[in-house]
Amino acid sequence: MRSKSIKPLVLITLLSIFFGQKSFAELEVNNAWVRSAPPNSKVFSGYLRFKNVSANEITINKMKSNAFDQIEIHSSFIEDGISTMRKIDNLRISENSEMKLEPGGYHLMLMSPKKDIKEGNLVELIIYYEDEDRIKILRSDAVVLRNGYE
Amino acid sequence: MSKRNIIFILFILFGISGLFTYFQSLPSLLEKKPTLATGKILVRPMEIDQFELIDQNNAAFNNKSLEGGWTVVFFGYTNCPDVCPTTIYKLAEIKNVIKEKLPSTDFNTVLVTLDPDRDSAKRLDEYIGYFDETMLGVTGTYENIQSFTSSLSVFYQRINKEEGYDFNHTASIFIFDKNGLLFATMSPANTIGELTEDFYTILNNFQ
Repeated sequence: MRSKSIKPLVLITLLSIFFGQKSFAELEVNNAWVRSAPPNSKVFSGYLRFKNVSANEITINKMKSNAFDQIEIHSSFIEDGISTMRKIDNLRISENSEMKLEPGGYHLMLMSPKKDIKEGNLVELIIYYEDEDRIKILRSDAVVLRNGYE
Repeated sequence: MSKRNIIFILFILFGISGLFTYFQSLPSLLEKKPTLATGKILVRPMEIDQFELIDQNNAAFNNKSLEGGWTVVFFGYTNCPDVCPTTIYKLAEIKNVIKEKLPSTDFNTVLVTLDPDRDSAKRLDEYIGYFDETMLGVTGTYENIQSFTSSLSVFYQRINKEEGYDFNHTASIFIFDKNGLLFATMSPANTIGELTEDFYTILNNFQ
């Protein structure tokens, strides 16, 4: 009974370590995860860490996934006691710096799932970014978890 | 007795009654309440207007439901993927710590939706049951939700998008005492540790 309940957890942890980290020369994506949600949910949130290891500013322009119709970057913040959310069109990451997308702050809004999104699944993320006026593409995976890495 | 004397006597009586009220309430005003790092304890617990809502099991949720135990109320909507699940997660963690430290405390958590069009009792049951089945999810008619929010001065505003809509809303969480009176407010943006400490301060001092 005990080993049965632990196995999926071990598997999820291993998958998240293996797939949660992707790097591509100047831009790294670490600890990517999507919060699982109840059946019939139309909107999911995702979190990750972008690491710009280059000497130039990088701008994230667009994100796509085969699992969702649309992905946007949003920012949740509290202004004068009011909880607000704003869409971020171009997310800038300064040279040699890290940017965390985490609960209650910058996050991914993953909308209209094309299939069932369940705990332990992997969600493909295709990241379009601009580095020295060139558009580049980075592919990564986010693991679906109830509660993430923090 | 001249008119002037009557006015003078009335004035004196008014002054005495004012002083009496002042001295009567002095102990409660001077009583030192502990301070919170993440919010405020009200000077006097506040009664709120009558309200009539329903929970995810279609049971009535009204002023009586707030009595008997401590209740934490926050506002949100199930189409909010970031802040609402984060707050639910934080409150569930806090509830576990409080249960361990103060096992006799009756400590309940409630999400009140601001989006009754999409959040039926059935939808709330599905949503709450997924994240924390010990929590109550509350909905109602638009008017009844509005009368509850206005008695707590909760602001909310629907923001239409290309597809669907979101809400800007008051972020605070509201803490009601065993008598169903509003006792304190806190900001959920703080860490689980900071919030737990403040909940512990309240529950340990005002049982």
